[in-house]
Amino acid sequence: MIFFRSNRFLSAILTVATIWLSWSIAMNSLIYFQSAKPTAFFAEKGSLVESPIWICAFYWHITASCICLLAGAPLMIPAMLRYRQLHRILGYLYFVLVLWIAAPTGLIMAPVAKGGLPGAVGFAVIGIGWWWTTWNGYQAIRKKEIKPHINWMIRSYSIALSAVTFRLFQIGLFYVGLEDTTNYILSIWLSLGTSVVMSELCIRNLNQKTKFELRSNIHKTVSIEGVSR
Amino acid sequence: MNRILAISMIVVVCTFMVSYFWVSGMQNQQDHTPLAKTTNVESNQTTSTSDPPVELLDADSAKELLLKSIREKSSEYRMLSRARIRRESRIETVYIQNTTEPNAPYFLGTMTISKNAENSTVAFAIDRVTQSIYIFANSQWHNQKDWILY
Repeated sequence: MIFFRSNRFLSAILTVATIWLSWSIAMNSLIYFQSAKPTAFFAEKGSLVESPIWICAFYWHITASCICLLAGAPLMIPAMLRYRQLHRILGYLYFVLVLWIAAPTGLIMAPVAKGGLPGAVGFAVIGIGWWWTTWNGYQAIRKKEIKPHINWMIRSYSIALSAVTFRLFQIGLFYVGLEDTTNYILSIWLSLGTSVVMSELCIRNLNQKTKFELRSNIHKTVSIEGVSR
Repeated sequence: MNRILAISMIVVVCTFMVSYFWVSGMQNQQDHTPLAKTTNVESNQTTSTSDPPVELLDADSAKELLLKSIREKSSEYRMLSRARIRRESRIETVYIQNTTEPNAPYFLGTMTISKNAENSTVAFAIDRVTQSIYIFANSQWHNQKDWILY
């Protein structure tokens, strides 16, 4: 996966961790479809569960987001880029799910999110950011601008992965002993911050690598030309 | 925007609308079903729709029901919480929230359980209609049948 191409070992570990954690989130979401028991999340929401718009948004959001997380992973693995048709299909799937389902439904639920105003604003920022980065990624590839497309899609998938980092922060802060609501709010903002920082680091790393490859290719070309002369 | 994205947007919006109307239709249907009928269907009794509805629990009855149920269930050990409360624990206080909404399906609340002067808070929910009790422990809700006891 495009994490740190200069450090393949770290990149491989992060790739496996990302896929495994995304899969875990998807599996954990199944409880909402198969269980007749009230889950903690629903019980917490109280009368909101009675609202048809909220319940629709919730189910659409979890379904689309889980598929996005899983569909996005192969799109971020450079070795998978050789399968262009697959990349195209998964890419469209990702665009459709994020732009029309996952991000808008997230925004529908954001105002009533746990954590009051800070929580609501946090989720709204994530939703808008996710939509915006994905839309830019789509616009870039429509104009056949590969580099901006890669950069925007890294940002988009990084925001998608904030679902994973959010849960990791929540678990970590729980063990620190933080109060539930504070933990929730802090986890939202920390996951957003982590997504932004990680995506920018990846893009920087990728650009440096590209520059290095370009320079070494020029160097090779010059040397070959020098030898041939 | 190209055709694929435009068509998918229309399809998604339409499907979302259908699901919205389907869910609200289902909920309307549930709202018009007498509570008595729902309860009696579960206990395999026949009833007419004209039966009077079951009287909803008030906060005090819910509290009493919860305490009674916990005491019965935990004859040997007290109920599980993240803090692993053991037999010497005792229920200190029970708070019932959400009582202002008579139509809410659950009483939600927390109770403080003390063990060796250390307090621990456990969340619970009581189904108003079936009077089932759910306890939040180990990151999920357990009903009376599957409470995990330590």
